[in-house]
Amino acid sequence: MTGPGSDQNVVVTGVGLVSAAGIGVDATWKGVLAGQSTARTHPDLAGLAVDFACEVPGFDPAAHLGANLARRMDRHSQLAFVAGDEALRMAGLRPQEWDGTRVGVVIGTAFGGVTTLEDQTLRLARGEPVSAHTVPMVAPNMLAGQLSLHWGARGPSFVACTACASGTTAIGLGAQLLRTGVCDIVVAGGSDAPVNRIITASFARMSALSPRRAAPELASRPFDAARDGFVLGEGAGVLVLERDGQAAARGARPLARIAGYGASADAHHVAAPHPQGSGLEQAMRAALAEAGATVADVDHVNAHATSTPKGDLVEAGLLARLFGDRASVTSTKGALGHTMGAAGAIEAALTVLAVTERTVPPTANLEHLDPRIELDVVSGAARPQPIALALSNSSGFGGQNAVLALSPC
Amino acid sequence: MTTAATLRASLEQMLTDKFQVDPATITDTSTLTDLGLDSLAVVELIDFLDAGLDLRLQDDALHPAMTVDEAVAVLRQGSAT
Repeated sequence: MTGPGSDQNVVVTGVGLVSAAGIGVDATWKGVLAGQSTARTHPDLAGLAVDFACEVPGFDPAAHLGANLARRMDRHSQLAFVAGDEALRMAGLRPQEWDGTRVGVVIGTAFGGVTTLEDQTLRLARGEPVSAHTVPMVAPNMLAGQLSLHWGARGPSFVACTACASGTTAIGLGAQLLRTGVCDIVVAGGSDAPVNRIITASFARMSALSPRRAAPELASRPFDAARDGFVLGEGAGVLVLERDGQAAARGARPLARIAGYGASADAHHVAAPHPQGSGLEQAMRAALAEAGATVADVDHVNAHATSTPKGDLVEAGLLARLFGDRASVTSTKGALGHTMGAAGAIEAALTVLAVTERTVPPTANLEHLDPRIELDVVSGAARPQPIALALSNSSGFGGQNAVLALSPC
Repeated sequence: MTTAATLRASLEQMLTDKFQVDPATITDTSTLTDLGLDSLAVVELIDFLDAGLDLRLQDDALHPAMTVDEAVAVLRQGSAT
């Protein structure tokens, strides 16, 4: 139902990205299009079974936020600030001028301030005083709280936490705040900075990470026959969402439409995906239903595919069953690693760019497609493609799935 | 015992370096609140002063309503022990 007063069309008017490929949308898009992995040996992880990750290069929080504010925020909040400010600039929005009561902030994170918690726990163990800012830096809700405070956004403000689907969940819920008229603007996305010893060691014990210490740049290889686990990454992706009519009224240029959102739970296992991907399928079908579309309309998928042997196979089987080779498929985790709660938001942003630039980025490190996978996975070089309807898939530990449907304006 | 002038200079430097306080706004009678420090920042200031001046201040030794003069007096006491 569309038209004045019942404007259900939600559009993206701004995008912000901070990733291991660089700070900003341009650096990230360029890096992802190049199809090069950003995984590198990480000094903080020295001596661990897995000692590499995808780190945001040259990030100087004090330069972006001022030393005083930067010191009070965990890295995941710092990354979100930078991505959020970029998204607002692109949207042409100035927080000093808006009616903050109509602005919502919905951000996803899987781990919150876990790196600060690790640092402060080590201080305590050494008999040193912990920072008075520990609780506001660690508590997951503070990601949204800090952003609302910074921008004077006084509408609903909360963190979505669905593990590796958090960023997608946040954008989907943000769109709902617009469709129901609760907000006029929603800043939605995801951010995570879990590259630390405790999280890396813990994922390594689960055998979830690729153990390729000798060649980290080859470790993240979604859909490849030789894939052996994901690479931990960090980053932030933020979208500015508005109703179509509202955006048009203020002369904003809409980039893409959030056509639909679907979410589900596998209710199957704490970490393993459902063998047929039934939860993910349910979320994909829900997103398509909201978009008023069918599987036949989908011509591109930004897959969740993290480069694990089992997860990629389950998702690929589902995509093959639904789309055959009619939809181009990519996994940008080959280039950026798995950024946890940021992944869905970064991938939604990259899918917006794929739609606006009519270009599908390649899956980095995909040399030999797993012979069991019968999909049109883009690899090697970026592929020019006008996209009519794209899906951005996310699945998290705990069996939580979230899917966004995106289309051109 | 460190002199009041030395302690005051250290405090001013801490406020400007760590909390980005404009030095021109720091007077004897300005409170820590006036200078933009909230209660969490004051605990942080105590940590910085302990480390920088080798003190062992209690967590409630300073509070936001204290003036610069009063804070310096606390530091003098702390540095005397």
